[in-house]
Amino acid sequence: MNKGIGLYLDDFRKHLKGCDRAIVQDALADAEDHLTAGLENLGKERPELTEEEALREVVASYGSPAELAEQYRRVEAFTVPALKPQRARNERSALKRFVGVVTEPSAWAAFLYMIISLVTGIFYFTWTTNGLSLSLGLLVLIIGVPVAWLFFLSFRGLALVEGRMVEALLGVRMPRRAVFIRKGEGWWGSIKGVFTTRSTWSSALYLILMLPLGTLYFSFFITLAAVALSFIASPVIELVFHEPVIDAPVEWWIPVWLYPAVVALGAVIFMGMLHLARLVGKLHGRMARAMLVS
Amino acid sequence: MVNPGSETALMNDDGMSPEDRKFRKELSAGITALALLGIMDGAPGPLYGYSVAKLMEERGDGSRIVKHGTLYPVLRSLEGAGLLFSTVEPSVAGPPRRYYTITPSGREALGRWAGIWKETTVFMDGLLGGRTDE
Repeated sequence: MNKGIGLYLDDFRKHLKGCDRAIVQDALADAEDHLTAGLENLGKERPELTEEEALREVVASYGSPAELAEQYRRVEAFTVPALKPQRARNERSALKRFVGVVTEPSAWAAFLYMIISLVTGIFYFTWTTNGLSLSLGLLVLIIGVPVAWLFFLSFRGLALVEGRMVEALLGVRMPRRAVFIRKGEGWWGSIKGVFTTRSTWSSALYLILMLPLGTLYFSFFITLAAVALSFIASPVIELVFHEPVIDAPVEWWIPVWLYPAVVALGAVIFMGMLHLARLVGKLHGRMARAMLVS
Repeated sequence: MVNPGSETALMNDDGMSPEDRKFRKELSAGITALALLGIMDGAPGPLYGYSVAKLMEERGDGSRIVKHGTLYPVLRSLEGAGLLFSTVEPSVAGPPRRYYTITPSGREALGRWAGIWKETTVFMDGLLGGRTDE
């Protein structure tokens, strides 16, 4: 990378201090991408300029780190991630807040995330463990290095995809751009860069962890949902389909006078499950930010 | 090497007073989104960040009212609002690029915003009493 661009980025990073880490990653990638392209272009258009003059020119039209940091803060403040959980409306009573969860898209989205995390978890785990073991196994041969490099690159790609999913469903701001692969560091430099970046390794660890976590999330939430729904549907199942809701170890029919209570219990379990999904989603979002963002 | 991003480097470049710069910055913050929609509407095809900036420079007579770096967060926010649509395509040199196109609701917003802009300029022209023509 051009030394001047490096200095600019360092300065930019300083001005972005305190910003969301996902915004910093996006902003630095935007700047590096633009300045590199601008410098290349200007070099072709006006070859008489020295490198320093050209960079000064490009930076003048790109903007100073201070004003850009301000712009990123300003614009991002009102670019809310999709389905960002609404602020807790404290003026509502505790009962209303508990029941109101069924109208909140963020809770349903978190529940959806818990359900699909089994599928994504299995895929991430299989891909990552195969990638790591294949890379390690082939490392003794010369083709091991490119294979390992490709797999590590794919971990970054998966991390970005998972990040987009976490942002959409859990409402946590995640990077919209992949970690920038620096140009001009030579092929060995860019290969090395993939292996020496902390986020590549933590992303791989995250992808592996998604199997146990996904299994746990899925089984826990699907069980709660199934119990709640069977309670809610018990009058229909027993009166219309003539099937007892509980048939093991002994067949037991819910007495008719107990139906309202059982249905209400089912509804409470379901709403509690949605609250829990949102809470677990929040914690998971924090973990994803810590491990997937560079 | 002088840090190209420092304020002093910029000050020498455009020779503006801090008040002028502040005024221009505040003004451009308001018009960036409208300028972007205008560019996207008249674009021959999907555009990525750098090409948007280049096109803006060409059509805007090389003016630096809107700094190129300020376009990126606004592009993402317009996409978030459904006014732009984007696809990622691999590029020959460097990382993949995100190409933006305007959506139908983006065109509608552009129509409305252009109306508001017209209203603003008529209002300002009236207040400044022809001073802007000098």
